[in-house]
Amino acid sequence: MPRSGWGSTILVVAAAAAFSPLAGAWQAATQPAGAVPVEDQRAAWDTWRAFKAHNAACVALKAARDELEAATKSGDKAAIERATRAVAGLSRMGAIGMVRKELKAAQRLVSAHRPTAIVPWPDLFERVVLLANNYDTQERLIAVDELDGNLSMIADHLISLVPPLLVYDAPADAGKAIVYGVPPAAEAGKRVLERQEVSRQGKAVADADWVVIARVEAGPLAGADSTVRTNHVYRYRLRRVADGAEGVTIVESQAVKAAGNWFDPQRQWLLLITALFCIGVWAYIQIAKRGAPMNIRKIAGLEAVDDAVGRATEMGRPIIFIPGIQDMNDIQTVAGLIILGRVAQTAAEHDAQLEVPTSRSLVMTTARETVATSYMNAGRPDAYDEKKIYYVTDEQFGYVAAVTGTMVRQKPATCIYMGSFFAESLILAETGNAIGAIQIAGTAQPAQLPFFVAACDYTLLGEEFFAASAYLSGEPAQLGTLKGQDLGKMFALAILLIGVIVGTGVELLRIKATWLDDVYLFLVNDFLRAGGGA
Amino acid sequence: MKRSIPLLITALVGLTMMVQHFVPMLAWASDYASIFFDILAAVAFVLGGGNLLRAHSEKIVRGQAGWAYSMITVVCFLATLICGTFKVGVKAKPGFTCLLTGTAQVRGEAKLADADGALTLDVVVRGAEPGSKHAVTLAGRAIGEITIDRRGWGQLSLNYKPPAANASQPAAATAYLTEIKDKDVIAVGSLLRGELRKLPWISGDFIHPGSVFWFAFEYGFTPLVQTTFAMLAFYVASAAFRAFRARNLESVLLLGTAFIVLLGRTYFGGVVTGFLPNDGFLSFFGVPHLTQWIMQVMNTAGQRAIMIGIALGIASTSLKVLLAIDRSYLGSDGR
Repeated sequence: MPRSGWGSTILVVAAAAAFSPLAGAWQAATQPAGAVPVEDQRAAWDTWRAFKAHNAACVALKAARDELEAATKSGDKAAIERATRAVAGLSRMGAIGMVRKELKAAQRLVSAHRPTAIVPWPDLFERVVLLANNYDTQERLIAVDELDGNLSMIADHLISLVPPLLVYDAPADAGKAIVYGVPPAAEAGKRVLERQEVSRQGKAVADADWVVIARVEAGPLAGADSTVRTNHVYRYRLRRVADGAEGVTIVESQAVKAAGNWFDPQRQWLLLITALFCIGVWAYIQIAKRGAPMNIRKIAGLEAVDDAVGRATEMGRPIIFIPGIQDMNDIQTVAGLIILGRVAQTAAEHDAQLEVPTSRSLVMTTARETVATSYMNAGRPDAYDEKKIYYVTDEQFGYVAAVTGTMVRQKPATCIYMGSFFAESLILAETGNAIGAIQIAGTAQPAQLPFFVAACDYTLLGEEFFAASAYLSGEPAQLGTLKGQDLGKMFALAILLIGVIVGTGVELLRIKATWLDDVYLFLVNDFLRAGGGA
Repeated sequence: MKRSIPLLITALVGLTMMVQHFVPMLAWASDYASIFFDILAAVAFVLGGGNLLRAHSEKIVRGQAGWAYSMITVVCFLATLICGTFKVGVKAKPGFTCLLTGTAQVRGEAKLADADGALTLDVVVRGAEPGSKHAVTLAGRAIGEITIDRRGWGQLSLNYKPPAANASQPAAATAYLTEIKDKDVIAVGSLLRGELRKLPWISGDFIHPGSVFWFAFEYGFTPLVQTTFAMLAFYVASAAFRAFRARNLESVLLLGTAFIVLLGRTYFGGVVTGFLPNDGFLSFFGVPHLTQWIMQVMNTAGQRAIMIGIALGIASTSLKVLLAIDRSYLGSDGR
């Protein structure tokens, strides 16, 4: 069954591709001719908000610069240093540098709908590229000053494209939200956003109540109405209200349907990469099954497992195996238990005692099954003792206190740590070191790897930990997955090199090669971040 | 069968979790799968707790070495379980509640919630005649009116906020809410009627400040955890003392980098290179700036390289589990 899962994936993707345009067509069909298209209204609103965030960041930066100026005049060295750091830090804020993509969107919108507007686009792009790539504080400040005034002017053009009330179905969701946007008002006064249900699952609703969704004064209002139901149609209206008086409707929107989406287009590149990776792994599994040799480099930590178990047998002392402190829903714990199976079989063959204190009940039950099977496979079912695999406590430091106490009392010859660890990793490793045990560790927590490297005899770094089960088993299918993993690494390396070349080129060539900037933006915003990233 | 069903469940749930990342309409399936796991883990805790009790009780009964520590473990376990389950020392939540009863089809309830002196009375009616209006009385005093909507539902909400200290303000119109007593009668016209009762003792939070559970957590458990966590500083020092030795080129580089970063994290690091300018090329060699550069550039690069490998390893291992290539985690003839 799992092998036909890819057919299902292709079917879902095809269905999503078929459904998605229909959802957009619903919106487009309700727009009067000659108006700014809904997609451009949304883009103008999102771009305007990004520019406002940039403006807010510039205001904060200006305040910091004023403080620096005041500190310089007063001569207070400590204040100057503080203010200098604040200015440098604020000048690197994401909101100040993140307008590159938005500037491109603004250029398209203003050129299409406000062709008479005079905007120095090439200069602006050059300043923005400088902000994205230059870490010199003074140059950044100059660029910020030159950008800020122009962005405010562009923002005014953009907001003129947005209707007084903008509502649309939230993209790429399960039909549980409708997004609304209300530009700032020219006059002061309270405004109220209300919603009325128009139809429910295709059946019209008569005389539904108007429900208040949000209130705002003269400023802008942006948010998502998450109280809507899937496939229900709603209408929104903006009213001006005064204390003690009946409200006056300013504008009423067209009907909007809270439609669910079958595909998130922002993740299309991630889907492609995932599919390619899965195909690569599957292909190498087939190649391995046909008998092709799979050369895997030696991993010292895994080669030492047999020796470590033998050492425990000779010394007559137990082996302690710790499968991490997370539960079975963590893939590191699953990987740790797979390794436990191999270690248990070796221990059974060498007649060594194995003890497995666990931090989660589910891990205890799974570990018992795994070890029992390993002992059976080794032909030593009589040697299996389920009391050696026991639950301690869920609490992190309670667990490590109990385990280190066990280690100090029983003085195991070998300590194996395979799984997800946090702060307790160093306590375990140092205690193992103090009692003279040979220690083999493996984890995919990057923050804990340095501790294990410093304190343990052998450490499996990241992917070596996940390769351990395939390495120890030697099965062709599993070794094939390792090769598929290497294919993924080569792909990542290729993207890395392309990104470095493009990024360096953008920095060196600046605005002279806009096509390079487009490639860079595509890689960063679409392929790797918005589309390819989580 | 014993092996096929777990494999099928693994493959189905795993595939669902993968697909829902790209298909927003299937997000509910992922939520359900997560809830299923939470339920399983909660039920599995009974197994773990039972195993803990059995193991330590056996040790006590047989008088094995360390039986006294097992006795402490069992006593603390049972005491915490009893105090938490039966909310020993917990005070009831302030407030009143009652069900409103009357004619067969109409139902309602009334609740008075007390949040640090701010009172909210909610009276809800369901199943009444649409469009009808009913006066609400509390202990004989008229407090408002409920209008029934198209669905037959109606609600009345009243709030009271205590006046600020030293403020000379007239009493709020809803100040009578502070005078509500046990068994005060609340009525909705001639439709519904009920007696407000204080919330029972079990309504309190088990970790409410002042309860036995809270006391054990605040003054027993938390200091022990913090003590163990604090010991990490000494373990770091001993690990560093052992690891940072200049044996070869790599270890010299490690030692030098560690020295710069350790120094840069302290005030003294800035003082040592304080003579260097704040801007320009030479500023790079200031210890704080060098520390920042090492952490932001070199360390980040190394971590990201490891994380790329980890991500690929996770994807590969997940595929092995989903495609049933590696079944040893299942046990019981899982090979």
